[in-house]
Amino acid sequence: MFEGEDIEKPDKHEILPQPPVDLRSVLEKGEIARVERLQGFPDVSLVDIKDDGQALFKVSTDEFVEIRSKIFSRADTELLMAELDQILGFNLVPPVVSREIHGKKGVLQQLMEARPVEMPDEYQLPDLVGWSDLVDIEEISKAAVFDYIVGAKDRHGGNFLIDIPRKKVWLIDHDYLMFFQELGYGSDLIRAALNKDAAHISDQVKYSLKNLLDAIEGLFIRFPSKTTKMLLSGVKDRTEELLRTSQIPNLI
Amino acid sequence: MTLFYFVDLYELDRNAKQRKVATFKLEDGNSSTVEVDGDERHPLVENLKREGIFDYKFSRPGRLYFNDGMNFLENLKYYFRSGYLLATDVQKRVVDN
Repeated sequence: MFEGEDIEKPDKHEILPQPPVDLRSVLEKGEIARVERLQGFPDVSLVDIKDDGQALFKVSTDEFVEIRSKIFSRADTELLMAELDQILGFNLVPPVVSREIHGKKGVLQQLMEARPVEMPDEYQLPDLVGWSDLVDIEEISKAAVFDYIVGAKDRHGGNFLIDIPRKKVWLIDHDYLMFFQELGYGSDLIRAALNKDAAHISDQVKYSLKNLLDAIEGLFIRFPSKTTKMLLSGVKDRTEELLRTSQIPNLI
Repeated sequence: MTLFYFVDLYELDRNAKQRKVATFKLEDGNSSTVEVDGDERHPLVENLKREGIFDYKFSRPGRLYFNDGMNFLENLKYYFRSGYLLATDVQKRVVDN
């Protein structure tokens, strides 16, 4: 550089733009640095990906065998839900991939900087304020639409996360218990949307639902298991219903 | 000697470390109500007392509460299964009186 040359130097504390990280690729191919089996009945491990953060690994085929059908594979439903979320453009399901770790097949999902609703350890709820007042109403509305069309039967406070600083919702645990119970808990997100008068389908969400219907025949081919076909049939029916009625029904 | 059945509940904290939140315990033969070792006023425990949990094992209608004893204990591991919150299976412990 010559004296007097007028070139702007970056502030040494300035954060330069980083290339976007393909999180799915990291989860699929990242080098596993450490695997820690967590304490608890379900087979869940905390996985450190070398230089790329942490993820939760859940086995795909041998969990909860005592109360479910034998043919169930968790990877089928977790990956299908992530795909539906992507087509809808809702950004509600954390990145997840199918992967084999230490000889076990399962799903590896990014560990989110968010907390289950039932663990509000880093914020104090003022009186008469619930979790649904701390996230964007659009998030609740989208999550309610998602839960309605996929037929979520177990979306209680332990099966979704909230990120208070970002006012965001994340939907997790798309396993056998979420979809295939005779009776079910239903969805706290749908209840919240109904309570907040946010169960009406906006034009933007209608656009997303139409995109999903356009893509659904392809999904039947890409997700050919009996389980996923059953889920997709329900998704198709309920998506058509929402487009017709423009309203999540109150079934409570 | 007294036989206790119990379930431990763990959370994964902000630093991705597992921490025990509470132990739910039931005394054999003497009581049908589950008791809590730990912070009884923790929002999670209060929520469980108030809302109950679903009967995943037998899919019976209604909710299970602390006074449902073993049925409540047996279903905690299905309710808390996300990794962010995890419950153990029902375990036994004998305590000398």
